[in-house]
This record gives sequence, C-alpha cells and structure tokens, in this order.
Amino acid sequence: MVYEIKGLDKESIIKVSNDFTVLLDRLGYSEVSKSLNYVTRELIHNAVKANMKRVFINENSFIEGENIVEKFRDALAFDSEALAEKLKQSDMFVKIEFIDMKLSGLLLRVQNNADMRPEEIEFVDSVINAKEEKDWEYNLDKEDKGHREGGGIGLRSIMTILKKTGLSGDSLSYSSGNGKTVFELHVKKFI
Amino acid sequence: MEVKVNIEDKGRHTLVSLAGSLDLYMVSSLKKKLNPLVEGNEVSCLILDLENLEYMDSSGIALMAYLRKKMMQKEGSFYLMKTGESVLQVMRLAALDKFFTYINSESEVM
Repeated sequence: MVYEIKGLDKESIIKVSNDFTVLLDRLGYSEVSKSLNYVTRELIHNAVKANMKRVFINENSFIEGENIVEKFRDALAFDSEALAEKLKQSDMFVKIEFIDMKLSGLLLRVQNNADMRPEEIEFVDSVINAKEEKDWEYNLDKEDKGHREGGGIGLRSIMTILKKTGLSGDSLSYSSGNGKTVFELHVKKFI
Repeated sequence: MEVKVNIEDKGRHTLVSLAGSLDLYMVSSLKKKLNPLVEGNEVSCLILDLENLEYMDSSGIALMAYLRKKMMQKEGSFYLMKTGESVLQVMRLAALDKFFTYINSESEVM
C-alpha cells in the first residue's frame, strides 16, 4: 500500500495511521498496533516538518547558517499555519508505504523530499543508536543543543515506545541523501 | 478536531481549560494565545485543565514542556489538572509523565 500526502493534511495522516493499525491487527500484531499507530503519526509528522523546513530554507536563503534554523523553529512554533500553506503550494510530499515482508514481518517506510542537515543526522544517530534508555529519554530539565523547548521529543518518544512494546532498537533505521530522507520501521514477527 | 481553549483569571492562579485534540496542527495557534501568560509577570501559577482533552501528540507534550519551563524560569508553578488516561498514556510512553505535577482540583493548590 502506497500513500502520498501533500501539505499538512491531518485527515489523510490519521487515515494512513489507522490503515496501518488495521493491517497490523490483520497480520497478527494486535499487541503493538495501538502504540504503533502513534509511532506512525509521529514519523509522518516529522517527515512533514522536514519538508516544511526545506521550503522555508529555500525561501529564506538570505539568512545565514544556524540563524535560518532558529528562524524556522520560531515560525513552526508560532505560525505553523503559514508554513503549512506554503508547503501545500510546493511540489513536496511525504510518501508512505506498507510492505508485507511475510515471515520477516511488516515494513513501514516514510519518505520526505529533504536531505537531513548534519546536526540532524548527529541527533538522530545519537537517539537511534543509544544503548540505554537514559540516553534517548528526553530530560525536560536538561536542554539539548539545537532542540530547545521540547524539540526532538517525537523521535525520543518513538524509541521509548518501541522499547516498551518489545520491539528492538534496531527496528527503526533511516537513510538520507539525493534530496530525500527515508525512515523505515521494521515490525518483526513475534516468536 | 480542533482544540478549544478557555482562559480564566482566578486571582491567585490562572486556569486554562483545553478541549479536543492538541497536536501538530493546533499547537502553534494555542502557543500564541498562551505565550502572554507565561512571558509576563502577572501569572505566577498556571493550571491546565485537561479533563476534556482527548488526544495529545509530541507537539502537545512539547508545548507543555515549554509552558512548564517558562513558569519555572520565573519561579512560578505549573500544574496539569484532571489529566485523562489517553493523554497520560502518551506521556508515559514518552517517559515524560514524571516531569509534571498532577492535581485533581484547583483547591489542591490554594
């Protein structure tokens, strides 16, 4: 099953997440389907935000370096409606696929049209490759560089949910380059 | 579903009641409404009534984190009131529930 979402289309995102839940239930993953519904929405939201950032950066290329990321965060925090409208007018989209890998399980693939920036790769690597929960759990009393005011909670939440639902940390992987970023969630068969 | 917000100045504290769904689509507009409360010096105790909040995602949690941080920075207090099980479950799954103070009624902070 393949979906394409343009803009910040809430109804479509909810439909995709619910379709994934139905598929999980049908293929025997009922124990984790509800938790993974939340994970699916978070992954799609992150992909949409990544596209928003790309549109914003393209339109504001006169702002240099780290300042442009800060400006984007301000825009996302206080004027996401305007960002969503610009995204909708662009040619960017998020592509979501569900792939039944039979005995190997089920694969969820979420792709957006933007390369990750170096600091984003560093952050994602630090969370996905963390060995212990304390290394990816979000500490509200300690702010990470580049993730002020609660940014980065989504990915950390995903990792905590994967751990708590019995999926291993390497269930989630990603690749980025050539104008796209792909996150893959591999839901393996429970033995 | 949108998020509905009602703000009441109760003298010693300000009560913000939320209803509906607090997610990526709604956070920005809500943050604009609530920012004056946490940026100024007039509000020293902020209570969010979540009894009618049906759904919250990481963007909503991030907003809670923002409000909490702002109140703590000015040595104020911040409470989540009547937090429903569906919202609490999201916070537990994200291991963020331990960072907030929960109450069942306004009288608990008076």
